Amino acid sequence: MSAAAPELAAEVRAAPRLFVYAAVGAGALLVGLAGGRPGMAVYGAPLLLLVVAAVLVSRRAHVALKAEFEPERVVHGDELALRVRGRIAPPVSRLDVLALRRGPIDPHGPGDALGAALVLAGGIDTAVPVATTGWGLARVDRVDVRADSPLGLVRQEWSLPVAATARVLPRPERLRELLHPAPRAIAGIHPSAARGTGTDFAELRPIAPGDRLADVNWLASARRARRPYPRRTTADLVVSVRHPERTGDVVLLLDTLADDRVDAAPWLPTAAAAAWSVARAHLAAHDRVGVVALGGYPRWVAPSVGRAARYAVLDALLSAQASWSAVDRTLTGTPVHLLPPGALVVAISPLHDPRFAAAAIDLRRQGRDVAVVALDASAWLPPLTGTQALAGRLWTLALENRIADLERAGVPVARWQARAARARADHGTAATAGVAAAVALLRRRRRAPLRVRQ
Amino acid sequence: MRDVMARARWRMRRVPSASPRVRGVVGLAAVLASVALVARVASLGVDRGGALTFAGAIGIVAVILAATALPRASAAAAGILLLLPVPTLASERTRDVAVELAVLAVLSVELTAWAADLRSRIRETSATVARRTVEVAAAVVGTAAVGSLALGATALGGPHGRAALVIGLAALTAAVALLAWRVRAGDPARS
Repeated sequence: MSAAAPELAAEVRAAPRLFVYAAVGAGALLVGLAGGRPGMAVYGAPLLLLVVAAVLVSRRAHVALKAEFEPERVVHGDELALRVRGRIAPPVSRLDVLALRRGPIDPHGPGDALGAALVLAGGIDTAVPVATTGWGLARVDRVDVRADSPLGLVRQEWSLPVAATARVLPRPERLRELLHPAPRAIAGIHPSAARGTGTDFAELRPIAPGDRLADVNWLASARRARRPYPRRTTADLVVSVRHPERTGDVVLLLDTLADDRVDAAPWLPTAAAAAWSVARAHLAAHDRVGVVALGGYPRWVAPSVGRAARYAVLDALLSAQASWSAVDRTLTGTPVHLLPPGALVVAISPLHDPRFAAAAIDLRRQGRDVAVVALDASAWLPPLTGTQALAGRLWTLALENRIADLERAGVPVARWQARAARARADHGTAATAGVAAAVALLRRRRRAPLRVRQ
Repeated sequence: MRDVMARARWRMRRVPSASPRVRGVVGLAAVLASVALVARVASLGVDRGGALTFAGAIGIVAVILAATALPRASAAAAGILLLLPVPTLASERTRDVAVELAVLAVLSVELTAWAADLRSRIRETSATVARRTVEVAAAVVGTAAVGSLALGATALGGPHGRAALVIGLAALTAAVALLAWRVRAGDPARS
C-alpha cells in the first residue's frame, strides 16, 4: 500500500568548500586588484566564478514521492523490491534516496542502506531490490531524499513520510514448524475415542433403541443381512457410528479502532502478534480459524483449516491496519460464514474504545461464546507526572470499568501484560509467550460456572 | 549535533563503503592531484618554500583522512590546498603559472570532496559516477578557461592592467547571471 505523495520544504545546505572557494577567490582577487599582483587576481577569478555559477544554477526544488513494495505479499525468500516513484522540479544533478526500513528485510549487496543514487531529469522511478531475512511485516515509514546541484556545492534534503508495507509470509516448512507442537492450553480438542454425532466414521453396529433413522447404513445392512429380502426385520439393520465433531470454529476478533484521529495504534502489532499466537495454537489442533478486524479497514478471513487458511490468517493479521472512525461499529450484519453460530470468538483488544467492548457484549447477548484477551497497553505510555498521572489513573479506572462490564455480561476476560511481553521481546524471547497462559485462563473460566450470567 | 545526526543517515560508520572500488580510485586521484599541486608550488622556488611544502604535506594528510576515514577533513583539505598557491603568486614572475595552480587546486579539492561523498551508504551507479566525472572535468576546464581569459586580459593593450581584468570579470559574471536567469525562467516550480 502506498501513501499519498507528500510535498515538503527542503532543508538547504551548502558544502563547506563553497565557503572556502568564496573566501579564497574573493580574497585573492581583491588583493590582486588592489595590490597590483595580477597573478593573484588570475588565480582568484575562476574560484569566485565557480561559486557564483554554483549558487546561481542551484534552485530550490520541490519533491513529491511515494513508495510501495512490489509485490505487497511474498513468501520468505522470494524477490521483493521497494519502488519509489515521484517527481522533482526543477530537475537536479543527482538524487539520493534512502529508505528507513523496519521488519525482516535487508538491502541486497554491500552496504546497509536501502536506497539508490539517481541521475535524473525530473521524474523519479526506481526499484530497489530487497532481500527478505525472515517473516513478518516489512515497513518503510520514511524516505530521506538528497538532491545535489552540479558539483554538489549546494545540497537540499527532505525527510518524507511514506507508508509502504509488505507482508512476508513464512515458507511452508517454516509454517509447519510454527504450528508444532500444539500448546497445552488448547489440548483436548482433537477427535477422541468417544462415540457421538459427527462426520468422521468410527464403526458399524446393530441398530438399538433410540438410534436415528438417518444413522442407518442401508448398504451395509443389505450386505450383512442374514435373511432374504421379504423376511428381513429391523434386527437386520446396522447403523454407522461416528466420532463426535470436536474440531471447533475459532474467530479472532481483532480491534483495529485507532486511538486518535491520526490513526495511532501503537499496540496493534502486539495485538496482532497475540492473535497469531492464539491462531497458531488452534490451527495446530486442526480447528477452523478465522479473523475479523473490527474498526479500521474491513478485513476478514472465514474460518477454515489447512495450509491456505494458515497463510490467509497470517496475511490478515500482518495487514491489519488501524484507523479512526466516528461510526458506531458493530458486528450486526456480519455474514454467518464469518461468524458461525457455534464459533468461539476470541477478541483481542486493549479495550481503549468502548465500541469494541460493546460489540463483544452484543455477541455474548446473541448467545455466542465470547472471550476477551485484554492487552494492558500502559507499556506504550511515557512516564506520567502531575496531572498526567491523575488522568492516567482515571483512564485505568475507565478500562477497569469496561472489563467489569464484560464480565457482568458473561464474557471472560484474560489480561495480558504487554509490558512484560515487551521485556521478553527485548531479551529475545517470543513476545507472545504469555498469550498461551492467557488463553489457558480463558478456557478455565469458560468451563467454570458463571454466576453472573444469570 | 543535529547536523552530525543528519549526516549519519547517509554515511557509513565502521562498515565498508557501498562503493569501495570507486571510492578507492577517486581517493587515489585526489591524493595524486594534491601531491602534484604541492610539488608544483615547491618547484617555484619562492621565499619560505619549506614552510609551504610543510603546509602542503599537512594538506595531503587532510586529503588522505577525508578520503578514508574522516569526511569532515575535506573542508580543512580544501582550505589548505586553495590557500597554498596564494603566497607564491605575489611575485610578478609567477603570474603565468596562476592558471596551472588554479586548475590543480580545483581538481584536488573537487576530487577530495568526491571521495568524501563516496563514503556513503548509497551505492554508486555507473551513471552517477559518469555524471560526477563530467562535472569535475567541467569545473577544471571552466577554471582553466576563465583563468586563461583573465591572464590574457592582463596582457592586453588599451584598457589594460586592472581595468581590463575588472571589465573581463564583469562581463563573465553578467554572462553567468544571464544564463542562470534563463534557466530559472523555464523552471516549472516557479510557474
